Amino acid sequence: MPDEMEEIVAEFITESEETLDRIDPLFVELEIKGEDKEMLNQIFRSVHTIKGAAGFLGFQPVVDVAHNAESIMKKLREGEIRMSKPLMDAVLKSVDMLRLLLRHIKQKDGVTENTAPLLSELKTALENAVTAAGTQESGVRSQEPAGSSQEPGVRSQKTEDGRGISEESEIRNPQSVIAEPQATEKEALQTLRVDVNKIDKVMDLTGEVVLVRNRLLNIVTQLEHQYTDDHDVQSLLEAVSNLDLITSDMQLGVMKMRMQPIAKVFSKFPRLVRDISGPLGKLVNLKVSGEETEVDKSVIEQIADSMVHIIRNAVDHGLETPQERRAKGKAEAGTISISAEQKGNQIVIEVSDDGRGINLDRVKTKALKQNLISEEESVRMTDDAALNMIFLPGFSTADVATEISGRGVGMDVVKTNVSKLNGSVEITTHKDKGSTLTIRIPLTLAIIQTLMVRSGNARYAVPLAPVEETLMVSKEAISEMSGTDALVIRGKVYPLFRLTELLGTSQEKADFKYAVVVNIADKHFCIGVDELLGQEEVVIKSVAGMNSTSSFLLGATITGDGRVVFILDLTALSRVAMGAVTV
Amino acid sequence: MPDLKMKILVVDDFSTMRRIVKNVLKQLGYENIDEAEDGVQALAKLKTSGYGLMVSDWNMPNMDGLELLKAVRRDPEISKLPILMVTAEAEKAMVITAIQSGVNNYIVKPFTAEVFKEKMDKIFEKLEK
Repeated sequence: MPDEMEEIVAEFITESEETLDRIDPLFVELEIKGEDKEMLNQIFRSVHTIKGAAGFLGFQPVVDVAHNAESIMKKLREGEIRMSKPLMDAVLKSVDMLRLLLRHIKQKDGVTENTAPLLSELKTALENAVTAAGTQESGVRSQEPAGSSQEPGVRSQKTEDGRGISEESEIRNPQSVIAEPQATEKEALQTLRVDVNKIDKVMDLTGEVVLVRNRLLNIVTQLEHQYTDDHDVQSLLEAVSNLDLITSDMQLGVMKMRMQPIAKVFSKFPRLVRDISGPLGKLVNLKVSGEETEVDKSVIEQIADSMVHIIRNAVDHGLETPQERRAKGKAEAGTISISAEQKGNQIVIEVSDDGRGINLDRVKTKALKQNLISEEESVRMTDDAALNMIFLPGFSTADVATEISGRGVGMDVVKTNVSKLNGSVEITTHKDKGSTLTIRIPLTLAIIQTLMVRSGNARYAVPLAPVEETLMVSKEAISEMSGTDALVIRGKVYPLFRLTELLGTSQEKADFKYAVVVNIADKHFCIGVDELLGQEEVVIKSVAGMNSTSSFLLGATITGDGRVVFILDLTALSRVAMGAVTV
Repeated sequence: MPDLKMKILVVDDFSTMRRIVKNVLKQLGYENIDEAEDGVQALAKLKTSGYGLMVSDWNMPNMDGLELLKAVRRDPEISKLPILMVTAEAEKAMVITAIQSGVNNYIVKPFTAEVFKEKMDKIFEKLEK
């Protein structure tokens, strides 16, 4: 049954990747904490398990790599050899190779990797490993239960076609097998493995139900006006209200199905930091918090790469070398803090470092050199605006693009990826104190609350979350500020734009009656519209062939009365709005 | 010949492995197959209904294969359960312990359906004697 096999292989790959993900942070911990039987055992078992399944499925390269790594882990766990950097590096490389091999299998690209150099590195590392034999050093001996005998010394491995077979295991007293720790109680969490596509289908259908519910609500409300005393209409109203409540609960339930702890992304960071900081000669203290915060699966997929880039930047550019830090009176090891938190209906992720901060002069110089701004602009621009230039495409202040970061494909990609999630990213910095990057992403991706407005003949849906207030505006209240209209609200000045102007649908400076005050990433501005039509919960449907950033639209939706209405992308509009303002 | 309708319990903490073993069993004609993730779950299931055979991995968290084997042999209700141990090549030494603790047979992975059938037949031949 070829389909069955395909499914088994797919499951094998997913499970193996998850297993490897779980042991990644352990390597870093081992290096810090030193030998820990439990962790060594976990790594051993994980590799052993992958080897077992791979054997069945005929993936010989995976078996070979896993087998050799497993042999090392086995000896480490039993205390026969001592941990060392070359040993750990070799095992880490095997983990990476296993991932690579799994990827090839997944993608069916037919690429074969040359595992020979790695295999020989593993064997060499094992042969050169310092044995625990003969040394009286404590702490290296494994904690065997009393009465077990252990064969001292390491027999050299017999190697046949890349399979290292240890002779030890056959002679050793079986009682020296380390028992699995029984203290760990398995949590009663029952889980189910479900194909993501199935969940997405249900999410889609839920979205459709929401739309139909909206229509029903609409119709029922009208009926209620017309036939206020009709008994049947009252019953209908009741039933639809019920449906309303249930639909909301269903929406929430389905959304939660797709949510996973962001630990999935965060768990890779200790290893990442270890791998980058070494060659750069930086000492890094990594603090991670809020990894239990749950986010939608698509967020996890999209945000991982961006965060890797941000962290690379922090280690490479943000943090100073230990000598520099000492000279500044700072601790030699720099601290990078990563946190995730749910605030209201947003997820807020922060990455901050206590390094040198971003040098605004260098940013301006670079921007000038790349003709991104003029001399005059560079003098006039605010620090805030200068700082945000790092998000411009192609921008990079590293004079020589280091291998690790600074190839100019950086922060603008991060910004784009975050925008795709309808989120925002911003940065703050202080000289010699460090920088903080904040990413905000809305919780619900496909269904949002909106404010319906009319501008001219068209209706639009304005995402409600960023809307702070709405006001009625008389012509006299509009003032001018360096070429742009503005409104003064409770003493603060906010730039004001007609919706038609922002969307570019009309050049006329027509009158409008209402202003919608919007707050995007702490930047405020007002949008002038002709009519406010009330709140509506809306399902974002993407429109084929439409590109969000150029069209200022998040998508479209079908409203309660059955018409198609476009949903505004306030982040994109804010860029136009703020771009027009020079202070 | 072992009864094709008998209920079989497959125990392994890696779900892909359980699936592979299940597949092998299905190839041999067995349809009534149940799964457990570790020794604790397995014991719970064994106590509640009648299983004709258990196929268990060695290395599992919470309660490993050897512990599970011993626990089954100690329990008068299920002590006669035929048990087939799945081991890796390098674990041969443990096979001695397993046999001493009462395992019916062992099989080294990776294995084919043919080898599996041989091992099963051997178990049930012996039992019939």
